[in-house]
Amino acid sequence: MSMHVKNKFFKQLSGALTSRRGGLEKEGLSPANWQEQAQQQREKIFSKTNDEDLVQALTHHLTNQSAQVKHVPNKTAIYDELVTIVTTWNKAQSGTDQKANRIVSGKNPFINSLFENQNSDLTLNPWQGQASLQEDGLIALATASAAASETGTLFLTSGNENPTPLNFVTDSHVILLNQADIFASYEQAYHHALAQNKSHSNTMPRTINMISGPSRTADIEQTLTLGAHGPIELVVLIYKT
Amino acid sequence: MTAENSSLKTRATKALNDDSLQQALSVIGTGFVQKRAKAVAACPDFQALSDRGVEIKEHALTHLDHYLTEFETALKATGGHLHFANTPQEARKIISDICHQQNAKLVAKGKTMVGEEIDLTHHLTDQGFECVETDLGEYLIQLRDEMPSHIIAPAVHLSRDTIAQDFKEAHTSLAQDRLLEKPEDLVKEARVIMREKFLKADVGITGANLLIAETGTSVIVTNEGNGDLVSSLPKTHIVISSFDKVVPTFEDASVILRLLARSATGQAISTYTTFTTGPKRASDQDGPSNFHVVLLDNGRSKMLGSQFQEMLRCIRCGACLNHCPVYQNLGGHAYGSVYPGPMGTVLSPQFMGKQSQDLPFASSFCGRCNEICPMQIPLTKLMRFWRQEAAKDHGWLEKISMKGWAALAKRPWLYNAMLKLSLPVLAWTTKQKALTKHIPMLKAWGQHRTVPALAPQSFQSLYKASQNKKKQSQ
Repeated sequence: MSMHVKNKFFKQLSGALTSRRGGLEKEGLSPANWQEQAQQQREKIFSKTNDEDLVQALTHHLTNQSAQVKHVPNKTAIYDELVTIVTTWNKAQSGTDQKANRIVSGKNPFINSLFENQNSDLTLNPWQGQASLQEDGLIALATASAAASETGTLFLTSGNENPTPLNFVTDSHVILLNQADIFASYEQAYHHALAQNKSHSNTMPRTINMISGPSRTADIEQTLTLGAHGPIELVVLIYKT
Repeated sequence: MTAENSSLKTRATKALNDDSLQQALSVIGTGFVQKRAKAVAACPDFQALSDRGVEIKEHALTHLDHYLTEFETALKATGGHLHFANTPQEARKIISDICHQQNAKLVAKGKTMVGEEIDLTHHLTDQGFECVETDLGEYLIQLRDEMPSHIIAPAVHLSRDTIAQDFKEAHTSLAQDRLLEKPEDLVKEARVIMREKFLKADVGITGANLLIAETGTSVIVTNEGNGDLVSSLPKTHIVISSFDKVVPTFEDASVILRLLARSATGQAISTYTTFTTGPKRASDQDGPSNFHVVLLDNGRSKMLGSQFQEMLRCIRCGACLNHCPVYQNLGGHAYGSVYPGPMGTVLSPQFMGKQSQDLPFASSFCGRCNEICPMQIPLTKLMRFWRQEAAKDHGWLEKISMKGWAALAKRPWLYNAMLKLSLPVLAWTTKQKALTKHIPMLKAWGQHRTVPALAPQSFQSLYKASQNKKKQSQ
């Protein structure tokens, strides 16, 4: 950007801004104070309420938003549930000849550990960018860093563990969520997701996806239709640790 | 932004006589309005959220220089670029220059109202790029080369039969006898057609619902997920937006997100809300390597500090369109601007000048828009400012009529005398039902409705007579 254009633009604004501030200064809300307020808010928000209530609210909203929610008692039960999900999905694709071998995920250590020492047909296909995009009938598997129960919203951060396109290109999307990562509000969930990301990266993720159900549109006669561009099916698997 | 050369009146008459449009519009007053009411009722203390939303926007606009600088610094730290454009021409040039630099062939576009404002798709096509709209609604109107008729539901004016016909004409590689009856069939077909475009696109363009200063982040809200494919698959991602979208922090963005979907579609939240900060990180396998944000002014800086500054709070939810009796009857195209409805009647004269100065007259001033606006923008008050502006250009006949009316209204004795003389004539005329269709002032009303017959005596004279009668009987 040329400095010239920016300076011209700021010059245009300056008169109006000065007169506005004159009227508002008595409120004492300078950008510095605003920042301080936000910081105080952030420190306060991490008080968690009852876990069970949060799970219930999250499940309620997600189900209303056409997602499926499944609960498993521990990490080891995830694999069996995945087998069920894939089998059910394949059965629903009547007429197609799909083996239960179609799960794709990023380089995700947690997901990889689920597939270790398992003797079933279900194996993990690694995400290969453009190459994976050409394939049909894949089921995407990803991990959420946090969730906000207020509207049934999952937070996923980008990176090689969870490549962003993977959340949108397949017909079916399965997201794993640790029950301990469920919070009440967007603010709590967002900062928790950022903190999780910080543990393995020193920069903010390029993309943070808030996902609240499968893809939909109402552009045709205001009729709700699922699977507009993204997944037709979203399964959220909530596990305890 | 292109406008039709006809007047609002001509376009409105056309819309009212268009049966299929009227059929399509019939769902707006029920669908959107009821869903919003339900979502707002289910939200704990929507009013407090709205008050906070207003506070946030006012604060951000007041300290715009600070927050724009903060946004720029944060964005640059991630390797992103920021461009300012004073005019639509400048914005279009910045964007097509980037596309040329990238040797782009195919440009995939998400839904952006600022993009519509600068007529971006046409411009890129003229420059030799293949430019595809990926939002389903936008794609439907691109096939027809039409303007959006609603800011959040661009193809709300189209019936599914029309869409099926358009698809058969456009997607010639598919079997002509395929079934396209249900909305699902149409959505599925669009999904297949579009998927190929996503994979081949060299540049992705999206809008932004919000810009977060603290982190240099752009936020987009979609239900389809098209915006996410556009912003994550191509090598270059361009965001076209305007400075009024800036808020200080994520906390502030959260408040506005809580207001946006509830006011717009009546959802508690849209399916996908995406926070994008700069190009892909060095270690990332996926994502664009080039990231640009283009901020358009197009007269917005003039609104700041003027009587129109409250309009800069607008979050483009479309609630004022859905609740407007004029919009509900005319649809968006009658406004002749990409921004229709109450918010459009305030914004369009700012962006388009005199050619849209009749738009603020497309209101009954019922004030429903003021009531439901989550940003509490006094829309009718702002329309009145434009009406005052427009009145300066109105003809001598209107000026003389207004002066004459003022002279009468200030002199009750003259007013009453004139009334006494004219009432019997008016009462007789309005009783002649066959005549009212042809009398100049009554014509517009009388064509669709019965003109109520005037009483031969005024209220004041009747009142006086009854008082006299009382006195006599006492």
